[in-house]
Amino acid sequence: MTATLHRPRDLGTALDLLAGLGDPMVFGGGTAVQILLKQGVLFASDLVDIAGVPGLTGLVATPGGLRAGTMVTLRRMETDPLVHDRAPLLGQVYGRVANPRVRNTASVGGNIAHGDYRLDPPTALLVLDARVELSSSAGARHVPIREFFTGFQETAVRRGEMVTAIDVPTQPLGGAAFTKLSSLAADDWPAASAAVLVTVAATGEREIRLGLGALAPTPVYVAVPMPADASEDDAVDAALAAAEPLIDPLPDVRGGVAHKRRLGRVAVADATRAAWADTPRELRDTPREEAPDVRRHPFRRLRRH
Amino acid sequence: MKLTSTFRVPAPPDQVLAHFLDPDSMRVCVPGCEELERPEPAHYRGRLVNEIAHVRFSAGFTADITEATSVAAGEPAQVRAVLRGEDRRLGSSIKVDARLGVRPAGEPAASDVDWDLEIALWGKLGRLGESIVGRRSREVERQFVERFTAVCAAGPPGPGNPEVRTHGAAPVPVPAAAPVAPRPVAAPAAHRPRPAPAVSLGAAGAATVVASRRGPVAVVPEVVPVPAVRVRPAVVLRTRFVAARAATVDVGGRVAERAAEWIAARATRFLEHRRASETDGGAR
Repeated sequence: MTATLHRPRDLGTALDLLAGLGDPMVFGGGTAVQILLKQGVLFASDLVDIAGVPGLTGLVATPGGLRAGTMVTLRRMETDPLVHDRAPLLGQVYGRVANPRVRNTASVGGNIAHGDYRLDPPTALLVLDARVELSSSAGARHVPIREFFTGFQETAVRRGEMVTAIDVPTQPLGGAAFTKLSSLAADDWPAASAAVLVTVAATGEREIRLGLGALAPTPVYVAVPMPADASEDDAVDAALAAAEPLIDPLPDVRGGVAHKRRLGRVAVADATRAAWADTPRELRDTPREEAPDVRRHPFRRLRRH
Repeated sequence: MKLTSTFRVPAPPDQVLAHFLDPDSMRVCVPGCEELERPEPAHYRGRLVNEIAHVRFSAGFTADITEATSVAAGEPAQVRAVLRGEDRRLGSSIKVDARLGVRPAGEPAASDVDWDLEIALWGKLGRLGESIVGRRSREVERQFVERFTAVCAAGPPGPGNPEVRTHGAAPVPVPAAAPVAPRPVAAPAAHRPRPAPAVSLGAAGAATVVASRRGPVAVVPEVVPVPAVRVRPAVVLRTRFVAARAATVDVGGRVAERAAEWIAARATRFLEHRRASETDGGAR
């Protein structure tokens, strides 16, 4: 089975190819596509390589956060000072994906478009409430990452569309932690992973945001309110109670349902404990750093439909 | 892999059984079934299209009924069938040993259907793993039961059945997998002990990393993102016009630049000359 490789030089051509070809597949970093092609389980008549498309490798600061183009490598997200400054959790999580060879090649957009339930980055993107920009030849639309993963290896990307950027708001002040537990090698797919962010929900209230990977057919998100004066153990109990109904693991070579469920509990408890312990007592809301959506995309209002 | 399921349909057992043996009803009910015909009374032939994870398969299949007992008083009707399918492109084959039982339910005009499916997969589909295939199969099963209940409720099998007539013209599309609803877990969290922390393997293999943000963010130039919209031809023309005008203006700019350079060079030469003559004068 051979596929035709297309190398468009601009975004318009790439989107036209996606809209016009019979069974196209976007080829970004290629770490997932190559393996699936070799295994002979992926059938695409055409591969659209977007490495030559300009404007997709930008990693810039935006009012209220940062914006990563779809072809930014995972390694760049791991090492870029901008990411460490504005969303340290994201930098740490990208730094735990697979191994350096994969991180040097795999792209930010391709990573989420793969839609695998065991991916690490979605856990952080879920707690940070990122937005995915999807472009097609008809225009661009934005999907919150919490609505992006629709089913087992299924995403909100429609036919003829591709991920062009991810907008990530600045990480709210407070504790954050990420736990990844693997049954086989340390750089293997995780058997359970959890990203936790503790932030201000309302006056005197905190919110524990949980993003879980590898524990259900999709990456899942849940948030629990907590009084600010609660103890660490209370926080862990609340997080476990919130996460447990969502844990629905798929048994495989990395462990059965009971094993993964147990690892999931450990991951949630560890990440919550670390994040809660690292949250300062006087945690204030930082409204000015969290720009509203209107400010994030002022040009949207000017577009004619 | 075994799939076992029981459900109730609102129709008498003989009618339910007739629906199961009717190719038109089955084509409407089985998700992804594109063709189904019955060349012989106990033999069916068809095509099934479906998708598991990233793998799309389109398999021709045959089904043979090996045993069938009709509804007798009080006795459940039972059908055994063997289903074989193959997708050449994928190099995969599937065999399903099915046992189907229909018996009258307690309520009037209702029956309980139970089936056991023994599914065996070979080739690339088999390599996907049973858990993945099993999960998808349960989804397909759920869709089948939904459709089948509607078809049975609509009346006896045949072209007169309104459900079959509505959906019979086109095959039932495979609906996208429904988002997995959270399943409540019976045991409350309060009775479970908190798990002990995972054993850390030192800094390099640490299971948990802390990544809190404490201070304000550094001030860097910020870019207001513009959505990737298609540039209209009028905009392209206008941009070219502006660029061309800028280029013309630039010629003047370059002339002025040259002139300024020339003046600066002359002035420097003049000043150097004067300084040289002054030092010469001082020496004299």
